[in-house]
Amino acid sequence: MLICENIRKTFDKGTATEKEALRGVNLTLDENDFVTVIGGNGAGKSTILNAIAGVFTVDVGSIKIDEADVTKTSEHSRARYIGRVFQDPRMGTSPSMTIEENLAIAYRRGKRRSLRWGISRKERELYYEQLKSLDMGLETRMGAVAGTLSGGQRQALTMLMATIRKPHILLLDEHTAALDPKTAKTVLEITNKVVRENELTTLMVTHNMRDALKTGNRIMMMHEGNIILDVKGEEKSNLTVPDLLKMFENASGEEMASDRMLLT
Amino acid sequence: MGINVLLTAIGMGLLWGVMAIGVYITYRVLNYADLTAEGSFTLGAAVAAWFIVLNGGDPFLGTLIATGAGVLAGFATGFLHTVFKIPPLLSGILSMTALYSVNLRVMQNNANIPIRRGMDTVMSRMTDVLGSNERSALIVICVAFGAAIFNLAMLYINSARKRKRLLREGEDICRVRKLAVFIGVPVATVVITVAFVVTLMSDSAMAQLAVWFPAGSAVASIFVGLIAVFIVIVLLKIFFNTELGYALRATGDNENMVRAQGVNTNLMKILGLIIGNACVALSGALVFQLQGFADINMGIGTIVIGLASVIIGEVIFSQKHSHRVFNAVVLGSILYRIIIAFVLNRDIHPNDLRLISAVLLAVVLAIPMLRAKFNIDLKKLLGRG
Repeated sequence: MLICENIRKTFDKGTATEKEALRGVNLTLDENDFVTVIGGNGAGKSTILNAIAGVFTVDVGSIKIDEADVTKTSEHSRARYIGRVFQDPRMGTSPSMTIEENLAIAYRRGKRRSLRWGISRKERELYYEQLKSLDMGLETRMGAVAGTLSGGQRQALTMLMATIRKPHILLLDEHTAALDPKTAKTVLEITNKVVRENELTTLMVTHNMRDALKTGNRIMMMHEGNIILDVKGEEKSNLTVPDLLKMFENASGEEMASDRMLLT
Repeated sequence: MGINVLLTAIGMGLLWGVMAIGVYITYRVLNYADLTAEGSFTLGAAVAAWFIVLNGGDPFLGTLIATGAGVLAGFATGFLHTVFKIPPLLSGILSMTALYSVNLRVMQNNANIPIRRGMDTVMSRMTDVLGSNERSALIVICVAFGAAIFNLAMLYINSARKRKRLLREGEDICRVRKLAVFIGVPVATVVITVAFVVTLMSDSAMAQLAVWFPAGSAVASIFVGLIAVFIVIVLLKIFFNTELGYALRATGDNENMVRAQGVNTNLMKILGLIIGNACVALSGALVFQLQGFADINMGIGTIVIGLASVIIGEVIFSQKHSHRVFNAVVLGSILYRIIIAFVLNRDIHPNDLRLISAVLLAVVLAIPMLRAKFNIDLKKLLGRG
């Protein structure tokens, strides 16, 4: 499904702020894998997501999605394979456009855009049903601009936008981190439901260890630009937070430093 | 202020309104402070002057070619910005600077090209259509009547539709609006129709109208402006509701999101700059035909006038981010011209005009802040009370 081979990326090369963000990451996702990615600050979690999405091109290595080599292709042309939800709820929607207009833009992901009408009556019915299934009351406000929605509603909408055309890979970049705990729980429930119903291959970065253990069939831990742990299936479902901490110490030779990860 | 001054101001406001729409597209929709307008406005006039005056070409074709020249100017700026990653302001300045020489070349090295008396222009064609003063007056009041009835009908239909939708959800529109629309509109329709018929029947009224609305450049420019604004707004409204239009609007709003949805934002930016500058050049070509000459310096201050129109429209008619925003921008442009005409009427030296324009824009820009501040103070007062 997704094959990343020996990906390296250094930011600000040759300057004082030089940062080796990815140090030869190898990553293979199988069909219907739901992988959660954890790791401390600066471990490279978001960077690997952005590398896959094409926000920047990698220095070394190759990225293949469904047999297609996308290593050198631009962000917008990769979008046909990829659905994305961001940490900042404002990043996923166009604030001055209505809910249905946002969905209409997402509905044409990977399609050629022309001078046909931006939205059709038939689509509206589809959007109504899909929004209703989110159970956030958005279906009655399809003409409201996205800027008037709460953070949780925007993330739910962005989740729908990322999946309304079934993506080959769904990338979730700490998409519940900016929400209050209750809303975060709701959005995570929606995520699970959407991924299950559409049988999506998903890569979800999170800072919340409990969420990471509860969600998906496979867990990865990153440290200093490398994947240091990759556990799946039954072994994963038996893991606990203390297990994870111990594994982290063994693999990295350090104690888990991020308070944020322990406290939440 | 005589009625002729007012009519001239309205005509100018409409013609410059097309430019304001162009500025709105780059500045608000695309979120791109585009200074190309200063050059592309003159470019429109220069190309029209070259084609119509120097080559004796058809005025409509000349206006169309001028609009096409605006497309090229917008493309140049977009190319500099998206391919060479030159910042928006600088890309615009580069285009504007280069266009100065281009414009002089287009005008065959003349700094000024006047339209000679009796020459065929869009304005002279419109004056011919208006014919005699009596006929001009008749056309004016028929168009005014038609527009009034059309707007009343639209108001009624829209309100009825909204009410039907709300009733389905067990609500109703507010009582004031219900009374105003469902009683006010029919009453107004009857009153206007009676007034229209009475005016048509009365010879003295028609004679007075013929004095007010003679078949001259003022009335002609209003009709040319109305037609141009109508065509531009209809085309833009259609475009902004297409797939490409959605992608363009979203690009100005949230580039990250549209890229994640597979849109090439560079192409969208170029497209937006092309459309914006086409409007600006079209306006330049029309203003040239109204004022009777093209001048190499006529574009100076375009951006300030455009922004003033956009912001007056948004502030006074409070139509930010609405489907009626283009109308508001044109109304803003007309209001700007009326204010300027009013100021010039007070014996103010024309050399002070740009200073006054800048002060006017500064005042208009300050209004939202002043309003917000005023509201806060009001709340505090209420809280204490």
